[in-house]
Amino acid sequence: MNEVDLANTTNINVRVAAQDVHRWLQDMGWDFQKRRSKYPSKYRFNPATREQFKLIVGEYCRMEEEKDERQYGSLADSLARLEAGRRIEPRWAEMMKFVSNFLEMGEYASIAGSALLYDAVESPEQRNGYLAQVEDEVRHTNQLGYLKKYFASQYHDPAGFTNARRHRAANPLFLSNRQQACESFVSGDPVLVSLNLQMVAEACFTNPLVVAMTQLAAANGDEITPTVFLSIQSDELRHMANGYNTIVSIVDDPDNMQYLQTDLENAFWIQHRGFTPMVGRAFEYGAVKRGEPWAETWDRWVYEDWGGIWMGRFTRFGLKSPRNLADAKMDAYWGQHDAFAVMYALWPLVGCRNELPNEEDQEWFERHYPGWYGSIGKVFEEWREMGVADPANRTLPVEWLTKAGKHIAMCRVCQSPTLKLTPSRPGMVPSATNPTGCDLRILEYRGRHHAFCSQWCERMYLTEPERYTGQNFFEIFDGWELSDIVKAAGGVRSDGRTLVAQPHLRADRLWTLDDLRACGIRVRNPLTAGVSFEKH
Amino acid sequence: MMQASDYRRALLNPRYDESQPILEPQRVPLSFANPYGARISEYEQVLLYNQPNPDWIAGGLGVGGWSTSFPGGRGTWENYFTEARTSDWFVFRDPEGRWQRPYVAEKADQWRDFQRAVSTSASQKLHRGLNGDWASRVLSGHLGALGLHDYGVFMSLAAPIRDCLVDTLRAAIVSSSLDYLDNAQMIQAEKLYLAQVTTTVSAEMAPSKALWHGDGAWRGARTLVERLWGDSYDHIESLFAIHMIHEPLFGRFVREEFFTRQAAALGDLFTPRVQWYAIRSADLASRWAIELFGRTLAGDPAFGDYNKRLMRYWAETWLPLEIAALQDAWQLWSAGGAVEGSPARRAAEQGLRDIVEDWRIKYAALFDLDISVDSVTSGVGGGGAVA
Repeated sequence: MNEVDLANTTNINVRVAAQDVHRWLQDMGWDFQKRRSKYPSKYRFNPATREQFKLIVGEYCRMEEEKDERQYGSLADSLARLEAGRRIEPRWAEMMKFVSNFLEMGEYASIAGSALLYDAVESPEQRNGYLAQVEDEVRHTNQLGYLKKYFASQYHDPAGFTNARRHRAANPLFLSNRQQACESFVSGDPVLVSLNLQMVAEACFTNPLVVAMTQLAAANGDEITPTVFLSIQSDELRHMANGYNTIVSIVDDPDNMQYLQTDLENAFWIQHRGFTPMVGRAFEYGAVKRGEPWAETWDRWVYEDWGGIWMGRFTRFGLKSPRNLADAKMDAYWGQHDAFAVMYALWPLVGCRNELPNEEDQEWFERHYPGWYGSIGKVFEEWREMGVADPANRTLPVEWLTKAGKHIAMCRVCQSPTLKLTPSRPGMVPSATNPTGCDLRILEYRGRHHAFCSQWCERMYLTEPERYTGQNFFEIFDGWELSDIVKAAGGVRSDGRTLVAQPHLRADRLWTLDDLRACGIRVRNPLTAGVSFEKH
Repeated sequence: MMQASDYRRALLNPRYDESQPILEPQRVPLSFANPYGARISEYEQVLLYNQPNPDWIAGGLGVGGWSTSFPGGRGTWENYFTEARTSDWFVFRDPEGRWQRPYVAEKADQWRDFQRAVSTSASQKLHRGLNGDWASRVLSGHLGALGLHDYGVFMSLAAPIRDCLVDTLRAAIVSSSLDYLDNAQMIQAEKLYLAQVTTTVSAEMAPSKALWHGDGAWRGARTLVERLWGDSYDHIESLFAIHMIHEPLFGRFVREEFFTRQAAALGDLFTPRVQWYAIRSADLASRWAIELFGRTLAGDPAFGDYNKRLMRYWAETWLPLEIAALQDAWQLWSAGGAVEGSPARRAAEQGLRDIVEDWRIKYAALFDLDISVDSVTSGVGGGGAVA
């Protein structure tokens, strides 16, 4: 028989390492006449781009399996025996209902976004990096689902961890979340998707959200969140490298550079409008034991680390820090306070329990944000005096907002709610076209009224109005009574009548659908009705 | 100023030993969902209903429209992303319940198994007796072309991952795409091993690329794969073409009959071992594919008949391409030294008939395609009935 010629080798020299296989990856693609990405881009990608983390599927899975064993092992063993889920500061656990659902949405959408990217680029190695991210995002989605079910199994109030994927549909804050951490990750030019997902959300905002949050979680008795979040973040380094590679793969082409700065600014603004107020609100209004003020955390992670050091790496490519970084910095001082006011005002819809700041909280806020008490702090006190927490009083904070002429609008582009109870920027005064005293502007276009939170969202809309046609919360539910919204979305507990969400953390005096209905509050579209809520 | 790290860790704080009143007795997530089995599984808890569809996409729990579209106005997710229809996309499940954790665990195990196989095969010199022509023509060439085929299928699955309308299907497609890329990488890994223990097998990709682009054996398969990759926009149709037509026919024929049975007959014990991972992946994918095209689509109470007609329509496009791929693939047997009329060739012809018969019963029957084995195999090599 014709036998193969054997090599002269001993078995100890024979091995096949993952890196040996990876070296051949770049040869695996080919071109053909009808080959094109299904997601067109105005950018041209360099087919010779190399990836930084050189993993093959088998080695990737081996690495991830080891991480999974440690994480799930801790949860199922030591943390279960220590009943970790029972020991969390309740205010923090309630805020984790919001944060875990927010992050789960982003991780899930990133599966599709990463797949869009691996379809779009030319280099097989670059595709490999994005594919690893696809599976990472499946992992993170599953981890957040597991985190929620773990909390639900131990914490004394599982509602809000269990069925949020249903009742979030009626949460106006979820629509903002969905726009910023879902739709902007899956719709649009692939480079813009990469900027949103990898360059900004992951390289910038997951640092405070996932890393800084773990310290705060532990200080508030939550050992579960650090166990999961730090494991998530160990994958994010590769995603940041993917984002870096997207830029590397396009900067050689001078035609590409005419779009990139604007796309970066647009991506940064959308992600900032979602992350900054949400994370700040979680840190400052979810924690009982706080660390440094959010404004300082934001400055360090976003302004200095990302805006300065990380973006500094791209100056040699002609890419600068986004011009709207300065506006975002101003948002990061007061924005989270207004965001909490919105969350508390809309409490029946937000899927978790909240409470107004107590005296200790107020002292901390005034110390770190001089002027807090004289502006928004007084509003919270008025709400407390109105008795908004007690169902017997049948009153909601939105009634105060309506009487005070403080109407919440939703930005057409970023879908963020706009409300200004904190001090306005120096020189900013309310006017007919800017009634809130923040940057809000109102435009009529093709028979519809549109609100924009800022010049940045207005610019995005005016450049591509066909991209932003969806209805916002107030347009969808215009005319609906609040208890009907909650009931339709399934925002009630297993007794069918007690709301999942509550405006306090007590075990008694829980609000029911009947209590909410008795308040008689209807949603209105503020751009047509002039108010966001009316009492009937 | 107090930092978060200044506080004593609260985990063992006695205050938290006090029991709190339970505010909600229902602790299991997704009490609103219909479980696939007797109760909601862990797989469903960590995955189901993540997809934030509004209610005009069947089964969606949301309302309103998407806030962002593509430039030009194509929505984030739209019903027109596929011609398939269902009363509820969220009916679909992977019957194996594979979320990320069990998926990577099995893949990691396969990679460790491969390393063990390399070590022991080298140590025991199991490549002794490997047929020289098989090594030089097939392992140095055609095996790598199969890797390129699998790479092309991997690329074809990118858009279905992005476009599909339900979370459980998205996770299943991700697994499949990883599997195909892994197939390609494992083939290269095998070549790297063989190149160390023989002087005949080369790890170079150039000969494989030349065959993939120029050899008649791969012409039909490449035509089909390039059409999927470049020209197919309906993600359900792409999944149909891959998992209901191509992998159950061409995939099985080439992996099982050629790279497993024929390989073993020619002293190649390693290739069947590596192809086992691809065969296993294809088998797991077939289970969710049958769930999708059988129960979810063909079994839909409102759209079942429509979906079956649609699948038969798709089959009119993809089956001729598939038959051409099978016809061309016979040339592999010649490359492998199995001439027409030889026992190996006759065994493969019977093997193909068995595969087509399996396909007819397991797949074609799901969409009421009335087709005989002969209509697929006649004209394919020497594919008449074996005496």
